[in-house]
Amino acid sequence: MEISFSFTSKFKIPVFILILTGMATIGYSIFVLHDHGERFWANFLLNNVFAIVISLCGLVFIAIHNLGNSGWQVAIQRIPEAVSMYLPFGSILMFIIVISMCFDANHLYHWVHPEGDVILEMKKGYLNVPFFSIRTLIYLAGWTFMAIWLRKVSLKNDRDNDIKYYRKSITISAIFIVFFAITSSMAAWDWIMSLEPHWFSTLFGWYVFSGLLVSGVAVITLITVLLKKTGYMPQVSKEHLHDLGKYLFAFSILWAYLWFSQYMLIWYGNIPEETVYFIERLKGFNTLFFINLFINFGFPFLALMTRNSKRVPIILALVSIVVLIGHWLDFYLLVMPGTLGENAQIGFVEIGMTLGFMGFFLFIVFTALSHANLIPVNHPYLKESLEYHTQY
Amino acid sequence: MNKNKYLKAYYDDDGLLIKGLKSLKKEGVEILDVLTPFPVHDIDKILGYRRSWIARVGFIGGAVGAVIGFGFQVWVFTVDYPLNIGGKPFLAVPSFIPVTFEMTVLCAAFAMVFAFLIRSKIGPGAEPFIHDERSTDDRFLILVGVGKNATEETVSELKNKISNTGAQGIVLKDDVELSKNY
Repeated sequence: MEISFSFTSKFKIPVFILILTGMATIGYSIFVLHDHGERFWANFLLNNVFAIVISLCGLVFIAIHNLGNSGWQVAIQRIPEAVSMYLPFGSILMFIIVISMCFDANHLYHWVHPEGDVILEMKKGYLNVPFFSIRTLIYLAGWTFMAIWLRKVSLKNDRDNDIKYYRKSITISAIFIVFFAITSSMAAWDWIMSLEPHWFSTLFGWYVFSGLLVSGVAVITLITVLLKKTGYMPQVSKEHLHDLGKYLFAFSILWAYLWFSQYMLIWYGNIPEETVYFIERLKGFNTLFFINLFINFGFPFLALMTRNSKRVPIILALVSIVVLIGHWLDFYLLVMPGTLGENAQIGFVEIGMTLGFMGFFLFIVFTALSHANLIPVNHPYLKESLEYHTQY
Repeated sequence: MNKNKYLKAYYDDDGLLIKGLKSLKKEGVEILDVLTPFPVHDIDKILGYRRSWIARVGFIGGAVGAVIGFGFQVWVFTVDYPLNIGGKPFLAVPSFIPVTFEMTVLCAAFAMVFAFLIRSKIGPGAEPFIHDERSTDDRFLILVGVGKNATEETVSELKNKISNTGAQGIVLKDDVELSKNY
């Protein structure tokens, strides 16, 4: 059972067009726009954090299934593995932001200059450039290391049939989940919440985590459907898609739950230092604020409710695309009010850079897919996955 | 011979059961029910059962619960007994949502549980009817309908067909109670 994905021109040409679009937009935003690169840096941060979050979900996906001793995902396991391979490249891009921050070349985080701001001077012990860089290094190095380790163990198992590789991947997953539980929350505070350093929410890490699950599962679903439609994954049946659809449905509800938990507590408490966050968004981003809620909760909730819509690849792919756009929008609402504020808009630069990052992401994922057998032939649960049935 | 008659066919193994079920279905034998000690995949597909409509009951129950929960709060806080709570507007939608959510879940769950109990004729006060106690332990059973006007010849023909599929034992039963269930 050897199925290898070949990254042919059919895939390569669209991916390169996307990358070129992104390059052109980056050039435009740096050299033509006279805003000291503000729009460039904001979009760079937004898209790179979004891409890192998606690729991190690939790792979380494998880890939770390894730890849950589950078998159904084995048929598609190479996809989350390939998705997690973006992490090293995303880390490098993230470090471009960190390094330019050290040289004061971007103005994303205004806690870099706390002078004269009483609140920020009090938070200086945590929010300062050296400590921020060290923390970012720890998160990214840890995730990248475990992603590559897990992938290596899985690929070794293809050549050498031994149960010890599966046992080892469970150990790695356990270490990763504990590490991830702490670092995912902290990364969300550091990278996104500190864009508005006066404001804080204890729920913020979970909120970003729920967005991570939805958008990551949406990407995994999309790639699964794409590979199935192009004939690379005959082993994937409607049953696997059904389970991915269930994840998409459930995590959308989880996201809405956390969104509402955060909103309602702040609305009920009505303390100025907390409500400022939502007032900013309701004033300048009113339409997007409500579109965000509908597109990320109402739409997937209604569209994926029936059993059939989870089992028809086209509908599932369509919902995944909409949810993915929705969560990009969610990240836009997280990042933009704190960075560009009133100047924020969804225009040529935003769309072009998003497409560019998409191209880069897909290039890495497809390359990783083409380097390995699409079926983990020696995985102990492979047979279970191939004969998998799900009722509801 | 106007009583309802049926044959009980015993199997030892779920693989044999599935095989036997398929061949009996192919020959056009009337199958009343299949009893297994644990859930066996594909039985409902072979028997051609339609998908359960319990999910739709759940949806309707949930929708009704949501409307009642939300509507009641709106009526209470705007029409019946408006109270100023913490300076919030009377129609404070975010604070209504937790109750609406709970009502949705409660009504959906109740609707499904009671629909299931009524349709399956089980629940408190229902008299259990067990075809064979060993079907709760280690035996697999197929109940085959014989028909009201079957002669002894057709019965023995049917028995032959069943034993050809690998059944371990076949018992002819005439049971009044069965007509209640099927």
